[in-house]
Amino acid sequence: MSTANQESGQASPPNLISVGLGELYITNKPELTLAAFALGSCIALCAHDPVAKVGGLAHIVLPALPLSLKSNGEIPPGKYADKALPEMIVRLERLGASRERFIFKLVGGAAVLSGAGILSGPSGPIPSRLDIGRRNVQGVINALFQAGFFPVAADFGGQAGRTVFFWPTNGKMRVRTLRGEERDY
Amino acid sequence: MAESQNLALKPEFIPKLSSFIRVGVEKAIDALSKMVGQEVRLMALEIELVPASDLLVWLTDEQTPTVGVYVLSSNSPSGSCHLMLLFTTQDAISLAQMLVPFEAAATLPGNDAQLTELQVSALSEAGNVVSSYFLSHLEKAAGLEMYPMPPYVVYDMTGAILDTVIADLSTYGEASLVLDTAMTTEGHQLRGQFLVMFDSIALEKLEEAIK
Repeated sequence: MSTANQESGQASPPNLISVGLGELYITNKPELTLAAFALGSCIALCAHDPVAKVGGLAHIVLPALPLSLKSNGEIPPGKYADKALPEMIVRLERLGASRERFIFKLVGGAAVLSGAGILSGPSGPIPSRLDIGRRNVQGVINALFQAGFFPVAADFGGQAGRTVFFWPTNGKMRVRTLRGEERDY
Repeated sequence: MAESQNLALKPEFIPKLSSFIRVGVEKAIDALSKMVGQEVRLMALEIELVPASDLLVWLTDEQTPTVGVYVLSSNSPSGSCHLMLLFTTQDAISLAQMLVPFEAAATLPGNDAQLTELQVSALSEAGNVVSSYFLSHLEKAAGLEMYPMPPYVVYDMTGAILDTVIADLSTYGEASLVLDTAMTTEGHQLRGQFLVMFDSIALEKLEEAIK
């Protein structure tokens, strides 16, 4: 995790916290902006409690810890959707949030290797092992449903990478793409 | 960040692996030189064992607009690897102009940079040649049977292009071996990166083969 003011054509907000792959960041500081840069198949799951004015962002890489891997060490808290959500809830509640008021938004899950960004490639669908964006979206939504939540906003799928900014204490989210699109949620 | 398995390659293995890999990279770059008709020089070769989650931090500015030529090796008992040529849009155009010098321009979405269909096809072929030579070296010298699948040429932010690769590597194990190669030419100021990312299965096989 790093504070950064990265720019790529458009200015980034001040007091920026870049939430890297597999990281989870929760805060109640209104001056902070959380960001996940250049999401392809990854998902940024953003959470917010409008009363407690607490929020956070998890940068999810995969839907679940693969069965073939045994976890005998520290797992990055935001890496797997099925682990990230419960951890996110615990940390939000620690800062005074209440699960009855949680609002979730999600961004990402693109298939960058299968669409608009592709200048050339094999015809037909991408190999299933690279169809990770779709699996991530399913994984995050499943995890939310199982915990009794539903995302109020989602900007997911498609073929273009996205950068997301999230203001954790007011719940606003901004999505940018390389093609200059900007959408607020 | 020691999450799961196999971040424990023996330190003494790295230099051995490094010189073995260097030969493969030199063969691949030499093949690219022949293709473009002028010498492409290997400027730097870094080899590092990196947890998949840290790859982006290690590699680059994730928001940079990038043209990536990506080749996945077919899945085999030898594991798999991801090969990626990364260029700024301007460098991709330079390489494309070297490959097909008399092509007119087209437009990349959201960018002033321009590549024609034929130039894109030429970049794809460059990815094919580079990856084939590299994988062929792995097979001849270490018995690793990994064959290149058809290349993708993609234009997006570097991080967005790479995070599918990173997620895939994470599926097979947390360790990945990354080769970060800078190359350049005389006349065209071409700079690019050649990344090779092995999954943990391929890493184990490599270690067995060349220890």
